[in-house]
Amino acid sequence: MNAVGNVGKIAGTSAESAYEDLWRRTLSRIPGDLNRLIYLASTRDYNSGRYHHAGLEAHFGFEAVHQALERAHREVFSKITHSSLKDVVSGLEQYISNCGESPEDVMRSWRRLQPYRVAIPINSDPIAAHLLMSNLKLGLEVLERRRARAQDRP
Amino acid sequence: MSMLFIVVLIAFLLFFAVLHFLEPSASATESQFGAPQGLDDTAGCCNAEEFVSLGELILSDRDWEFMRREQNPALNELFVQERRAVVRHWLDQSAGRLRLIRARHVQRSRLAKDINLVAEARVFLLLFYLSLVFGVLLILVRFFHPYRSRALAQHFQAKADLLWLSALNTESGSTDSR
Repeated sequence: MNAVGNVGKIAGTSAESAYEDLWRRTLSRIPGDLNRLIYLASTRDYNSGRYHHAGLEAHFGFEAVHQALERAHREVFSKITHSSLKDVVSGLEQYISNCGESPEDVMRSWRRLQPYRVAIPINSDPIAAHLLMSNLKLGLEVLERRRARAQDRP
Repeated sequence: MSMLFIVVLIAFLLFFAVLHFLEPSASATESQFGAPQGLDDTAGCCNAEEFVSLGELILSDRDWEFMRREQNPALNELFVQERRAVVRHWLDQSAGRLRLIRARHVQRSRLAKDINLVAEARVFLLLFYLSLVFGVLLILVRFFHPYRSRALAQHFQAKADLLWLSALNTESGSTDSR
């Protein structure tokens, strides 16, 4: 086998190992797909679009970790896109209760700034992205109305 | 009298559909979430292995039922608005894909040594017919509840998806053989 072939094989194996490690040590401990999506998007550099994770890079190298994070990001995005609006609302509730900020503040900033727009993987289907953004917007409105209704009750 | 009205209505719809496809809208060529990929851009969402039809998801009964159970007219109105925007984007993207298929087919036909005129005519008629249908659907979705034309949209979308997939497969086949 030539040198190029060897490098390709090693890079592929490292990417697979990095992906398994990522799920075992990190993603499996994050509750809910929306939390995972936001976490994975946060590992992506805004300027270059490259994914980084210092701990994993020390073991598997930059390219393998980039591939592993990108794959996980695409998979989680696809899973959320294919879930029902009801599940998106539950995911939002879970995210808001787990993020450590006051639910009112999170709701307000998410409705105004729509930070979830940066959570879309590169090369995702524009329609799938539009559908998910639309479902998140609807989900936030549902939660806001429920909250307002609960406050109105004596 | 009513016959005349129907004929005028159909002519009106066809006129706007043709107008729509003669002048591709900005959203068809460059959508909010990025430009629709051409046949050359077979990476990411648009490669044949990863292609998933979203028709069932966009106009799903379970989402509509969920919103209705919230019993809030403002939420229902927002849901209809949001779904209308997604459906229009979806139909626009499909119309854009049909235009790409047509352009690529013309390109291939020009280079081909032996052309079957009957087969070519059938392909062009099919593409023209689907383009016209998408134009009419876009008008229907703009003025009516998006769930009303759901069955029609999903039916023709499935046909357009098949064409798109076959174009992608042809493209990847010719790329592999290079």
